Amino acid sequence: MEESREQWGSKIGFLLAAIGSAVGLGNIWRFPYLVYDNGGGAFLVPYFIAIITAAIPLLILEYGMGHKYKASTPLAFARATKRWEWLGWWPTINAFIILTYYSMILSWAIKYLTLSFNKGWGSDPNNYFYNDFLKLSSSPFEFTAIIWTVLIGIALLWVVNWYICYRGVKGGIEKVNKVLLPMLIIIMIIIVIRGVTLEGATLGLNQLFTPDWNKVKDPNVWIAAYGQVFFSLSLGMGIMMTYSSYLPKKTDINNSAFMTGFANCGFEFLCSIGVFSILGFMATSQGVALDEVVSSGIGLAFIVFPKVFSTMGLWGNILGVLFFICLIFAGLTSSVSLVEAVTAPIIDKTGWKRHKVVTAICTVGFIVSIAFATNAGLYLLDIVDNFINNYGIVVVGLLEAIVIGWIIKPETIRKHTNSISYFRIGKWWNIVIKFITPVILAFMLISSLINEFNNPYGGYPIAALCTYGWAIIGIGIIAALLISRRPWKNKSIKDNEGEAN
Amino acid sequence: MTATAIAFLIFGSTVLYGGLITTIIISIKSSKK
Repeated sequence: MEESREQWGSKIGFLLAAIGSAVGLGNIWRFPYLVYDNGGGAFLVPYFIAIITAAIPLLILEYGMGHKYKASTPLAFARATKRWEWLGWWPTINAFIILTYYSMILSWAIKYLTLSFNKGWGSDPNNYFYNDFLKLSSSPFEFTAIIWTVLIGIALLWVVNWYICYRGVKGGIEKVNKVLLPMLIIIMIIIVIRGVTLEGATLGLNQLFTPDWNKVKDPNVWIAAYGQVFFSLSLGMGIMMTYSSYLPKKTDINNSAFMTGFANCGFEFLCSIGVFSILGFMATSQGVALDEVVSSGIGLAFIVFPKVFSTMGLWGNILGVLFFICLIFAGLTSSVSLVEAVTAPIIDKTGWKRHKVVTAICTVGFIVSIAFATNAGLYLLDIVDNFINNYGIVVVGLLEAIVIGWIIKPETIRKHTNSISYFRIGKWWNIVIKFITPVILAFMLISSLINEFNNPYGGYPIAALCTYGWAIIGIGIIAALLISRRPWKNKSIKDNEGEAN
Repeated sequence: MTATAIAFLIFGSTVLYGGLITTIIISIKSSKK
């Protein structure tokens, strides 16, 4: 017997889960560098414009679609226009692929959390990370060893994901987010307070916030701003549509979108203050310029920060533990949302019970993740992540905006969200969805493609980029098309259909 | 910190945290309605 659609226990539960999904590793290790590298304080201008003209409108769109059609992403598209059902399956497949390597990064963070207690990365964190820990092979095709520590961490992450999603929307996802998100914010505030009181913190903050107005004239800076808000808010992954489909009939969609957008961006702004205070301390204590220590992504978290913590005494241990807990919490709330974004469409399509679907996803996900626990795992992660982000998610976002803007018509969604929201959004929103978002995403896509063909990503061999990059994108599209041809077997979605329309 | 850096720090904080607080107030108001 099929079950009726689950619901959030409270609006705050939904908001915390949506913010928890949006707040991820990129907020901590990508945004600070982006601000620094794209004009400092001046970057805030394109960034704020991007929040208002893209991030929040797209959130309203995804929340509106999920809520109106009371459905996960593929079912929402199928109900709106059957021909485009596959466009809901593609982000579902992308979400699954992201999950397989996200668990690997979180596994590293767990390992580094344990190392933080005694600064176990030694005096050369760079050498430790690549050689001692990852035992990195010399090519993306050289899989000669399994890194057991990473594999155990990955298994642990999948078990945690399984346990949370197995317990359902209200009993699992909502409960976990209600605990982890406030803790994450408190820990980050502690890091920031300690960071800004470190000697040399002002050097980092001055460089972070001093504006370089020339950069604002560069179109790439605007692409970076729009890219950041797009990736940061978990858009184009099917998560927000799925989450909003669990909302009760009367929910303030418009205000929820604004709240999620501001909370996510406020958190990454806070992170930038903490990260650059600590980097300023590092540059001052080593007597070097800030640009010699500035880094982002994996390099920042697993090489530069361990170096800083090593120079700090007891505070180094404390900050290390807090920092890696932050990474784990931020990553976990996002990975849970990815599991749910895969679970919900399968339940909608097959009518299988949640327990069965979650168990199947986590088992298959763990098996695929084993590839990332090898000594070539870092290469795989780097290539797959680049292609999924720059082509998978951006193309989904672009097509989503075109399909909803020109086929489903944004007015349908705007009318729905306005009818249940405290404040109404004007017709400007239709223009954003029809014109501004597609143009910006198309610009981002073209610029990535031009870069890709001029300088193949990361200097990797073409064979590796085709195997782990283009092939993954191709398989995603083909699989999405094939799945969309299968019938919907869940009888309960028919009961919800009338309600949705 | 330089005055310019402080000004941009305040600018960013005002927009983001001001925006967040405003939405929270609206949410409380709308739930009372």
